[in-house]
Amino acid sequence: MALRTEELMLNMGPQHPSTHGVLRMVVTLDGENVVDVQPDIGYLHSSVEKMMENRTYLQNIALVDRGMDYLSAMANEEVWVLACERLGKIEVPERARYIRTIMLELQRISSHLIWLGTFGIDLGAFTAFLWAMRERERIMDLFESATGGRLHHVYFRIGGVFEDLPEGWTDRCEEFCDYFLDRLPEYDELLTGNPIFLARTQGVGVLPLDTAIAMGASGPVARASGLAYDVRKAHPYEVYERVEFDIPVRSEGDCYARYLVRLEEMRQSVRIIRQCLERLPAGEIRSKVAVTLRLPKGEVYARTESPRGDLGIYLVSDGADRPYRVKIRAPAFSNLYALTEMMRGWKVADVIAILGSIDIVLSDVDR
Amino acid sequence: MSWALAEKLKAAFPDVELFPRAGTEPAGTRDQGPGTGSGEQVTAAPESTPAAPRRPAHEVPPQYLTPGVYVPREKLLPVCTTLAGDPEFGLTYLSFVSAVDWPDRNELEVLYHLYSHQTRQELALKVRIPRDDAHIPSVSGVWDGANWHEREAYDLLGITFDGHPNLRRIMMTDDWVGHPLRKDYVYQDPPWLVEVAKERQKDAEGLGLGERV
Amino acid sequence: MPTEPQYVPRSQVLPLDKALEVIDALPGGGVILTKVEEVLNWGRAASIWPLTFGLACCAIEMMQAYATRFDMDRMGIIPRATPRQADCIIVAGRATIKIAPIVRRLWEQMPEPKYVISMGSCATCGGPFYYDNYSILKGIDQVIPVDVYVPGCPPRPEALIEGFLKLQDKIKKEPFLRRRIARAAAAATQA
Repeated sequence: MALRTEELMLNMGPQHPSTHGVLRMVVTLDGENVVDVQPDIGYLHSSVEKMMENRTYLQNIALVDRGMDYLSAMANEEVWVLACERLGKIEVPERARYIRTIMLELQRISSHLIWLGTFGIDLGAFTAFLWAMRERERIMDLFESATGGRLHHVYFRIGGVFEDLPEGWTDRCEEFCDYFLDRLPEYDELLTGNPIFLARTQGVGVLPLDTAIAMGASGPVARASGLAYDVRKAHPYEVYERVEFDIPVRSEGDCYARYLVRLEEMRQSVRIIRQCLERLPAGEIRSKVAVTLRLPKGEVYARTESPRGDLGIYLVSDGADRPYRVKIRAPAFSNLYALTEMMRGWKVADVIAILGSIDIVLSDVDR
Repeated sequence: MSWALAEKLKAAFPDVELFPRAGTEPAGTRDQGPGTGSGEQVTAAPESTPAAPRRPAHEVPPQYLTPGVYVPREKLLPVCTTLAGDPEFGLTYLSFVSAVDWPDRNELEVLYHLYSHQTRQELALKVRIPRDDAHIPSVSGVWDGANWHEREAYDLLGITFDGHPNLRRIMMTDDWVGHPLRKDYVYQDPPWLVEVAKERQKDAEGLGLGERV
Repeated sequence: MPTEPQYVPRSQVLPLDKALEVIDALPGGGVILTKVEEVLNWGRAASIWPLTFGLACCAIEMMQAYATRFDMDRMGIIPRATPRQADCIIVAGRATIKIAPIVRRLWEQMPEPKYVISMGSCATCGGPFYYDNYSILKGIDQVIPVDVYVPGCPPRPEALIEGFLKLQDKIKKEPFLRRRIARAAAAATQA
């Protein structure tokens, strides 16, 4: 007589310390093996797209900060003002474009640091969290002195940035770059060479390249699977075409590759920031744009590379002072969809590692 | 961004209709191949176009800065299969699926945005469907990633995707009434929330704010 | 020869419904009770264990408050991962209508005495998500009672710490034992 086994349904979340927010996963287990994972999202759906239809273009800057991916508020502002500027054919002064690029890269580092810290916690390395937060706090200080906000900056404006950098900011930013590059080898020591970390991540949660593309994955998740695609290179915005940087690409597609890609991205971000600081021109920071801006009728799709991937906004304007329809293409939404594919066949303990490695922000998934 | 793909598609499928391109530059000037900065193009655009006479906003023809085509509903699946499968197009990456609601025209425009990592070209597809008969073939068989995007469009805009493997609400609760992103949607608190809030109000009045026995 | 111990209901051994009257009638009884309460409250206030439950942006500032530089651990605030071990829930961020029942259930799962800190404008009143919105709860106090409101969007970690200090004040002033005896008495008389 064959031994009869049954599949077990396991509910993870929405309150679970390792789901990085309010994600619920229904995991079907056969013993310890994951048969199927069904993510259940929508617990943070904030109706941003509806609200944006009822706010002016300027007001929406404050909304995209909060409503979209809150770990990278600058990236949200960037994609929104980019869409508006393209449709309205609004010029951005050189200095503002450099400042924006610096801010975007600082934001990328801070977002990746949060990811690094939480990924460390997921795998039992609490020190990584404390260290990452320590570094991030320095970036928060830089943000705060330039924009006034720690998390939500409302710093970019259509046609420029809100205010010029305060005195001595560039020196402090330079200082941070030195400091941060000194700290990065510490992470290598702590995690990259850590046998426990390697055992938990290497070869775990492999996402093949063709599956990644078919599922719409982007950003570090797709780059770790071998897709050499970065919006900053493919469709440069701001001053990315004028600075030198590399796109880290790995072919393994496992958790470890995603970790390495993000770690390298932080190094590249520092490289970009340094080049921008060097070349930062003087001059205007904002072109004249009416507060009650009316964009011409039309439609545009703007895409940027947020820390999580290909972040886009499809903007439909009917000539009024507020958008007619805004569709936010959230990178984490598509990356999370690939989760089921990554998890199938792995052990239940790997669920947390795989989920942590794709770096979702539920606000970006649900909007 | 290049309209070449859209024109190629038009040649293959005469039924499709290009986005109106009045007000934009002629094709070719925008087509600068992969790797050119679209950020540059924005600044370059006002210089290259002659200054148009100022007209009231409602008279200006709309600009479509993203190349795209209108596809009839019946032709959507063959068009998509060609776009994704034919190496000539190679649009293997679906950015998103969504829709725009136009109640005055009694129309929903279902919107697909496609991208090719090889040629770095993009293409938007729009399908016009009537609001009261909002159903459309699902493309989740063509691009796997469409699955959740279509669920979202079903949830928020009330479009039924025929042949979708798992068409359930994704953002809102299963018992939600209405489709919020439609322009005529009116929000109402769900009944259980009204009840709970009333109870809480009673607690607060009876015991003083925040105090419990 | 030992006799069989006879079962006496607890309410008869300790007539709880009379307990408070007896204590207050004793010379200095009320003062002693208050002093005992103070000691207990001092201990409780210095070890608030919140539930790790982050909803949105404020959760990032909450994490930062637990982490380097702000380090709330030094005030005895140690995050717990399960509601059964927690005595405080920080509603950090906007709560949707979809998650409201879950927040309510988490709150119900926490043992008494329990406290709620509403962190940020969204949890307090809907905040920036008040108008034209169909999915966000306009204040978490529609669902669970809130003890401390921390304003801000998002509040800085210092603001959250201030919120905890306020909560400590509240705990220190609470007639905790008195309330507990009264509740036990009410339960005993009902049974």
